[in-house]
Formats: sequence, structure tokens, C-alpha cells
Amino acid sequence: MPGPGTWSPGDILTADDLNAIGTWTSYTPVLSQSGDRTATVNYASYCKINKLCFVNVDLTCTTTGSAGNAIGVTIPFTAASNQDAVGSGFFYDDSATDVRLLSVDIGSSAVQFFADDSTTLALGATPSVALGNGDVVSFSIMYETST
Amino acid sequence: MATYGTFVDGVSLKASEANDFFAWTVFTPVLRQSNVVSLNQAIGQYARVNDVVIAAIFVQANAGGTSNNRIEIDLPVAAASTNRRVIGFGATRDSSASDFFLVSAVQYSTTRVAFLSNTGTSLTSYVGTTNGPAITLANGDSIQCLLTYEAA
Repeated sequence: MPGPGTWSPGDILTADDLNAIGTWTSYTPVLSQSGDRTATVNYASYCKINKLCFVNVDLTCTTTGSAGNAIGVTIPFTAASNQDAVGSGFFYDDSATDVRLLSVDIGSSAVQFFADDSTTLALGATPSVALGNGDVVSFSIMYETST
Repeated sequence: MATYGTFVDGVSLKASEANDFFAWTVFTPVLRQSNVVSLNQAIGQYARVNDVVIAAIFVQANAGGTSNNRIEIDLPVAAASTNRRVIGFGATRDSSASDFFLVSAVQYSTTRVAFLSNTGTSLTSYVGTTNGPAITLANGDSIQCLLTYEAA
């Protein structure tokens, strides 16, 4: 039986139903920067309780992106709306040997990132950074899902 | 008391068990910089449902750490995986330098979290080590963080 948020009067709630609450599931996020970019998934799991979704992701890019375009990572469930500041993370630019702390925003089905030198545009666009081999994107968020 | 993740069919669910959903538990956080650092203040709370752990931590040192070592805090509940990943955020205050900076909380092992900042130059330049910045914990220094992670 599906979890909280889907129950109806008369449903029989089993131990399995309750025990499924608060479990984590792995998923395969997609890294993008003007097109999908291959990455090694070091960790990517979510836990969904009703419309609250916790997500922790750590990716190592294994290709190159396209500077001037926002870096994005897909999330496991479509968000209820565009949501600002749903979490935090870091971007490691391997070629520049530079760590940037990030604030994470959601646009429907993917997250984008804002560093302290971003403007109205997200990391990758401003500052203009191209994904490269060995770059790492790691973040932790919680957000409202659409269903 | 049964908890989420351990319920069994045919056994009545008690109100106290259902009400345990994301209830907060106080714990005493441990701060380390190679050695365990004694604390002026140690404030820790965590809420757990099954394998979801949310923890809020504030610690203020009253003694020194060991220079050029990662600053770490013990997790209240062991984590599921050793894989590096961000599990939260926080801030560190270097009292002697009157410097307050933001940090990303990175799961370092199944039992500890370490911290990266904007000054980092590698995936291992954690706060407390070279470029971390390489601060050495001293009386009055503090770290606070909010974590969300998968329990073992």
C-alpha cells in the first residue's frame, strides 16, 4: 500500500506500510550543462514521506560541459513548484582546485546552484564555469513534491 | 517500544509508538580535531524516523585541538554508507580571528561529519587542514550545523 498522504478510511494499515516510512531509495540523477553530461554517482538516495522528499547526492563529472550554461541535476520526483533555497552543497572545480559552497534551488524536475558570486543566473552561467572531468557536485535538499 | 522500521503485523500499535514520529532526542555532541576537544557548550538534538535522521548541533570549544587536522563532529546515529556526500550546512566561528564562515557539512565516515568551506582547494582540504582554512580549535571557537542523512 502507498504511504502517508494516500490512505483512505477503511484501509488496513500493515506493519510493512508503517515500516516503509522513512526508508531511503537510491536513484540515478542526471547531470546536465547544456545537455546531459556523464558522471559517476558516488551517492544518490532519497526518502519520500507524503509530499516531503529528502535527497542527498554526490556526483563526479566524467566529461566536459559547456560554460555559460547552468549546471543542473535531476531530482527523483517533480517538485510542487519552483522552490528557492531547498538545501545546500558544494561544487569542486578540479581544474581550478577550488571549492564553492552552494545554495540549491529547484525548477520542476531538476536543481540548480547558486554560489556567492552568482547573480540572477545559476552556477555554470554565472559564474561561467564549464563542467570538467573530476568536478564534483554534492548537495543535500528537502522539498515539496507535486504528488 | 517498537519504532518505525520494526513494527510487526498482529501487534497493537501503541499511541506512544505512533507519536514517536520525528520526536526530538537530546544528545551530547563530541567535537574532535585529532583529539577530543572539551566544550564550553554542547547542544545536540536529533529527530529520527526509521532511517531518516535530522540533527541540529552547536558546540563551543574551551580547549585546543591539534593543528593541521580535520575538525569533526560525531554523528548521533551511525550513517548508512561511507561514501562522501553533503549532509547539511553550518557555520564556524574562529574566535581569535573574529572570523565567521559558512561550511558545507560532509559525511566523512559512518560516524563523523567534517566540513568544507569556500577556501578549500581539494576534496580533502577540510576545515582545520591546509586551505580548509587551517584553523586550530581554541577556547571560544564554535561550530553549528544542521544535518539530514540516512542512518545505518
